[in-house]
Amino acid sequence: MRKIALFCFFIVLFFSTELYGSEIESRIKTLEETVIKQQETIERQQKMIEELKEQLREVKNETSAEEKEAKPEEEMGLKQPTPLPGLGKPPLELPDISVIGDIVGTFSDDKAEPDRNKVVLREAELALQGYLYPDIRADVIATLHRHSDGEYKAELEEGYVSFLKTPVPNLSLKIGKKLLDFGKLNPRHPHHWNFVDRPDVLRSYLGDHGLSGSGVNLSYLLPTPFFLQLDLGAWHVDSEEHHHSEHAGAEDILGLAEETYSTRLWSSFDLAENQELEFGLSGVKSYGSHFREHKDRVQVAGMDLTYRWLGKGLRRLLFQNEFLFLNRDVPVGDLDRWGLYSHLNYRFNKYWDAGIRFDWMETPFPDKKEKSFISGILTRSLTETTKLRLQYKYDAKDNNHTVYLQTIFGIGPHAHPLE
Amino acid sequence: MKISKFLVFSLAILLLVFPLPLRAEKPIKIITTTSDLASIAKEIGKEKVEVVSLSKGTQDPHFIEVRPSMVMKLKNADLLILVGMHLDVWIQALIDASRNHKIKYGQPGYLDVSAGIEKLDIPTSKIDASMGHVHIYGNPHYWIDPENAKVIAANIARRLYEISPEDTSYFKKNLNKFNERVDKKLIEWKKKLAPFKGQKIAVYHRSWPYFTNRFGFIVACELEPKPGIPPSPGHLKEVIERMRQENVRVILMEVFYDEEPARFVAQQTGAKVVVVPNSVGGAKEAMDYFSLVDTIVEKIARALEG
Repeated sequence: MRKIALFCFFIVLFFSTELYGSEIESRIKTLEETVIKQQETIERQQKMIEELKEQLREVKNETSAEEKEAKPEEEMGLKQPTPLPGLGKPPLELPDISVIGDIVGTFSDDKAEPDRNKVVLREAELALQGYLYPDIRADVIATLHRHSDGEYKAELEEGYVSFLKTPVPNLSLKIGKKLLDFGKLNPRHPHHWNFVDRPDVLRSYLGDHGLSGSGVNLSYLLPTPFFLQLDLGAWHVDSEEHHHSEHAGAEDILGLAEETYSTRLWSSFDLAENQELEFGLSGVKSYGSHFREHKDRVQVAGMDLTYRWLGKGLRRLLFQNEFLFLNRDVPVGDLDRWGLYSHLNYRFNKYWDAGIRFDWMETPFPDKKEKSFISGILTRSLTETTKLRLQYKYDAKDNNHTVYLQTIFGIGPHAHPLE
Repeated sequence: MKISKFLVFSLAILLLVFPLPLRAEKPIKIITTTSDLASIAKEIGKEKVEVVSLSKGTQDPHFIEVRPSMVMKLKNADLLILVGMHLDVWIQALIDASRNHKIKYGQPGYLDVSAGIEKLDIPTSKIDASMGHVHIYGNPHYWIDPENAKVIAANIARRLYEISPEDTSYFKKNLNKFNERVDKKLIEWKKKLAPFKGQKIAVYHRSWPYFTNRFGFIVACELEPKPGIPPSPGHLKEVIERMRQENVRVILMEVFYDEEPARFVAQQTGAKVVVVPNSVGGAKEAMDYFSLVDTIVEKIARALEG
């Protein structure tokens, strides 16, 4: 009985393993088939992908001119706009740095001209400009300028902070050392002018290097339908000690110093779409630059008139005039003097402009002399900051002829406020 | 008694008069640096905006002389739209002078529409004046490609939704209409230029890559030796040789460049000078964005046909 049971058990065991084995085999077979099928599918898909890729490449290669799917507008324009100029590279903590050089060759038959028949680097200017805070910027302009003895002296031409936003709407404030807002040319740096030399009346009445002082300036844009801006400033002007006996005609230079108050009313009118007329009134109340010797109070009033016509491309006609009236109260009496310059300039294109300038003035000294000059100027601009200029100037009174050859160069980003 | 009556009366008048301008729907004041942006902004804003461009199509947008009268335009603006990519850097002095804080960099009223443009000619080598007038963010003349006009329009529309949310659907409708019109016109323009696809042309200034890429032209050479540097005799000689070798039949240039060097080269090579506006208003017939591209396409097609 036991034997039979054992036999049966083995029989069952045998058959079951037999059955089990055949089941595994069949399963493996189906699995293999499935894998093969899947492999085929993968291969087919791979092939399809390759084909699609090829097609895509072809589409792309068919120049980008091929019709593209219009992007939904939400997807467009999400990238950042370009940063402000000056932040050219990744925004390092660097201000805009620029160097401007002014090289002048002077050829003259005026023997009193100290730079006669010489080519000199008249001035090299280093400008550092940038924002300090939202709506607050700083401009520092340091210059090295040449004196007639050949020595270069360092001078801080300007160094000021501008508060572009104040609690009063439309009012801005500048504090520091600055060229005073008097007329059109005084606040501009000479490298930005259309001629080599400072107009004689400005040089004589306001100083050889222009009128600049340390103080405060308030500038208010009036709520009128046309452009009208009022500037008020209170300054201390250091006298330019070196201007006597240095340059030709240095004896004609008065210059201003000490406590100085300035004002300017600047307006502009659109005559037509491409024509504009600017009219300005300026005034300063100050002292002569040698006040301690001469005890002279000086008031200068200015009127400026600028007409601009703008044509195709960069064509421009500019007619700029400044009239200055000077009242000087010296111990011997009251001196009333006046002078003007008138400048006509035509810019042909980006590269060339030509102009003439007429100067007329009365010397601001007790022995009144009249002076008049006429200049012809031709400028070739390489870039906005690099220029080559030829100027001929005729001194009608002393019958002197002077020719200037000027090279102005600029490296680096350099900004100017509205002028 | 009299005084209080007067007070009540004047108060009533004030209450009546003051809300009036608030009630009337004021258009959004938009100032653009170029006429093309003005044209596109008008398409999106229609009567809900008032658009003024600071420059004209006949002027070189790189160099616009800033004037005090422009300050007045910016002073009351709600939105300033600029090309960006350092093309219209002259705008900065005006923004400061206008004392309008709405339109300062980073404010909703300051919109640089170059955002999202696929920029071309991004310099990979030295960036300084030895390379001519190089734009560090790439070529800024992107508006001339109609596909980019759609990006510009989308940028403008999005900013208008922000400024006047209640008009969002209105602006959206105008944007869609504009895009549809661009798509339709683009097919027409492409069809017109299709016969000349792959042809080589010469250009005066490097301001056409977006246009030539879109319509399948190849720029063989530039009359300027480097961007912004006037053509020199030596360089023109090379240009002439190259044009002869590569059978270049057209010199494409903007209205505000000097035609003389182009005429000289044309005379030497038998090519045609095609002077086209590249901004709205640059020619009489280019009154808006669509007629601008129409004019350019028409003139090029005519030159290449003959």
